[in-house]
Amino acid sequence: MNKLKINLTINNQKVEKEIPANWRLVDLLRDGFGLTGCKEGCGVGECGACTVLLEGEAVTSCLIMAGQAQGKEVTTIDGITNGEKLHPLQKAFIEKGAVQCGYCIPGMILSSLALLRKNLEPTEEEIKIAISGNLCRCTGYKQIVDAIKLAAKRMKESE
Amino acid sequence: MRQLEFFQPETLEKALDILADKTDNIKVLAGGTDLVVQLRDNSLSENISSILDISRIKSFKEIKNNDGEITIGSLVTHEELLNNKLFSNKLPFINEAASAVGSPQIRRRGTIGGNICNAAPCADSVPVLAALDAEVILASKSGKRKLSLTEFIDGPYRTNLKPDEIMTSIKFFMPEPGVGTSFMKVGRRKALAISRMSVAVMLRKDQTGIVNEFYLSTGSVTPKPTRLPEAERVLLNKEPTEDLINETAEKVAQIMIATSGYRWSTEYKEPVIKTMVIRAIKQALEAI
Repeated sequence: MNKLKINLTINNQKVEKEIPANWRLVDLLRDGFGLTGCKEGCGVGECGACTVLLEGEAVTSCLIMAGQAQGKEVTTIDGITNGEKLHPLQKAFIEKGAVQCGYCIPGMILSSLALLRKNLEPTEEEIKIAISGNLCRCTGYKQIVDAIKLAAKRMKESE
Repeated sequence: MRQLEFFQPETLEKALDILADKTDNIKVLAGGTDLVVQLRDNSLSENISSILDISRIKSFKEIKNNDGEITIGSLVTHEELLNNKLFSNKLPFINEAASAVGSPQIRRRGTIGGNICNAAPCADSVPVLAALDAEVILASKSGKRKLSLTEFIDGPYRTNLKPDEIMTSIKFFMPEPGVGTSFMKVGRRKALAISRMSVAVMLRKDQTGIVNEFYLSTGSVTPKPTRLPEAERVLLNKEPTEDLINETAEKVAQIMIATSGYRWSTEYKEPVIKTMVIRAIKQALEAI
């Protein structure tokens, strides 16, 4: 089997691993490092469940070869809490009832986080565009948009 | 998924060496938004044993303006095009087409070179570049060559890219100020939609109100995105009256049916493509 040695930073930790060269980033995260917060849904980049941050930007990890993350920084849902303390986005999602089955939520939160890191006062339209690549079949999106607005407000206040 | 060897050169020279060596069984990887999906489909990737990841070649990531000659590196992403100020000021249909691609995640990874080389009839960036008479630059160990975009794309998912070639950039000339542009797309939904029909228009009027330049191209309705000179001639060197705009739209619908045949969907597509062309022309006229 063709192996590939990969070095990268995942959730602020430098890691190194020898992996099959045919792995995608989602395989590396889930099978290589047990970070199962990153979900695989459609596997073709349509659903957004596998969204993670690569160099701070939201990307679908099912469309990226693991080797392409060589030397880069990846953030998964597992990396956004501060110890036991939930991220303001996670808290807001819970409070607003934005989570039902939960499968889309890690991707939703990471797409929202990529937006809020650049813009703490997004319009509703900007929020909708930011999560337009993340499909949710349970909540109907309203609660999710409300949660992102609430988190943005709180993050702005605590700046 | 099959066994793969993974190459990650940082220069074009090294990439071309690897490509020349492995020609038959290697695939060039840029953003990955099409290729990574194809790799997991055994019927599409049977002979692929190596991947040449060109995403680290820095010189492919620039947009340059050399005295009006615009060069877009093949690795420029849809997101970068969407946010480009030069284009939003002068040729906003480039930004509009880029914003119609996929989703934020896809726009961030997908590249213009990949969009062209994948040669999907529905590629959103291609009708706009066709309206600009863009050319593609292809490099191989034996040198560089230049092809017009519409010559390069041979048909649905087929190009004239040789196995030892890599697309390095796309070039076109920035029109003199005073053109109006528009891009319109219809898909089954808004986000992540595959274009079922798209239209790109660029035009200019002289002082007397006559349309003295008119470029119209379509995506998805013909086997490959292309300019439609027959339709352009209807309006060219005339005053853009309601009747002539309608006649242009009628011509586009006729070309669609002549090249793609009368299909089950034509009942729907014929009136819709006409309306899209009318709106695209009017929007471009207003944008002057």
